Amino acid sequence: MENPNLLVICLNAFAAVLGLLWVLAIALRGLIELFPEKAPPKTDAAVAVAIASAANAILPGARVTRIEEIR
Amino acid sequence: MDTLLELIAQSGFQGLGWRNLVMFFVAGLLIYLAVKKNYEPLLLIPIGFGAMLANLPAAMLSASSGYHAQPGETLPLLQFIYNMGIKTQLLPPVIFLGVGALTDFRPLLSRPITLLLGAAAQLGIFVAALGAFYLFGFKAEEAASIGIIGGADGPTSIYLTAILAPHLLGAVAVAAYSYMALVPVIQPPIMRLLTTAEERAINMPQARPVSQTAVIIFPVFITVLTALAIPSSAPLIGMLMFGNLLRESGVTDRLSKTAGGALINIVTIFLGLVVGATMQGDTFLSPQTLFILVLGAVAFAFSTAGGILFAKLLNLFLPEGKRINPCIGAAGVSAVPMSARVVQKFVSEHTEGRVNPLMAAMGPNVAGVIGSAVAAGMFLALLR
Repeated sequence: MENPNLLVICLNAFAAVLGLLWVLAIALRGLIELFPEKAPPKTDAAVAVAIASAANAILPGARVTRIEEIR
Repeated sequence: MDTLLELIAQSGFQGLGWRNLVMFFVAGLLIYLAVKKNYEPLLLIPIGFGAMLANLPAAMLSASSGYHAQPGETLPLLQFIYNMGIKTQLLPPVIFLGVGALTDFRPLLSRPITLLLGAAAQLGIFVAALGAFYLFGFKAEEAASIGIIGGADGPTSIYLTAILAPHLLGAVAVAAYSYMALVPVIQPPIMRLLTTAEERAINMPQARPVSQTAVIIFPVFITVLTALAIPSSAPLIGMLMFGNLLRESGVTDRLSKTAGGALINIVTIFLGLVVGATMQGDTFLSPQTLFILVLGAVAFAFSTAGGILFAKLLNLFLPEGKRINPCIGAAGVSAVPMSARVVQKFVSEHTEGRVNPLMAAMGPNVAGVIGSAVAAGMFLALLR
């Protein structure tokens, strides 16, 4: 290639990289909205009672409002 | 006696010059950095050894893009590997296959906005290319090959340089891998300079979980969209995403293990050795190599700054609770996972352990791999 205008090439290339990855970001957003992670199953009542009683034994009067399983 | 004299005449000592000796030192330095400092040892040891082989006079163990075999001549060993692996553009995409099989793209999928940081952190590629062209007088193809060092992606640098400026392959590869190893030295001062204490303390909310279906569709999706938009990036992106599909599909465990294990290791050996074999003293020891090393550092610095500044720009438009810690923008250079680890260490140290953005930084980090491959594809489309 004879005497290409590298300034124009670089500006176009950078704009294309930003533009394409912008489009990909929007598309990925759509993808994760379309295929969301299923909500974790609700805590078994027996497990909830066991955790509440264990918490009460350590901190009398404490109330368990939320149980979360971290894998 | 005649036989002895003939043996001496045929020995390499006859052709040994100062350039060979300097290159032995350079090769030794690369091996030293790999062994003692643990700087990208998987690449620098083969490159260093290849450089030593290339500079043994009469050993015929160098490789170059300009080598033309005589009719009936058997190609020297490393020239054969060069012709089969580099000239055909085979080896870098196969490395990408392995990288895809080893990379978890979930941090990116859970925060798609970090793709933009991976794009902005390619800024250094274009700044260095312009510097090489306008300040140092390199040709456009050479300037693009030098600029791609700023993508912090060795296989992409080798892929682009082998096509556009094969005579610079050794210098560009050495600069790319050396600076990738120096990410912990280069990036923290830039992060310190461009961010405030308040910005470093931004604790990003936990990313949303990603379904396995989305993870499996992702590589197909990215390949199709990217290859349709920029076909010249398809060999790199296609192989990267194929490797990732092998990993995430859950039913090709053997293929995934091979791509991310034995195959990538075999190809790394050949690639490193043959890149080293291109470093002959008479071409490598020139002011050009020095300029390439300088421009490589400039490229890295601007790429880091580009990611950080773009994150700050995005924060102007994001609501209070969704602001991005701008330091993760630095991880948009694709030195995976080192750059994300450097960001984590920097932020954690500056917030006394309160903020730990490792997973958030992995998003732009893997996005950078896609960004640099797309940038290389753009150069190929516009300059080839």
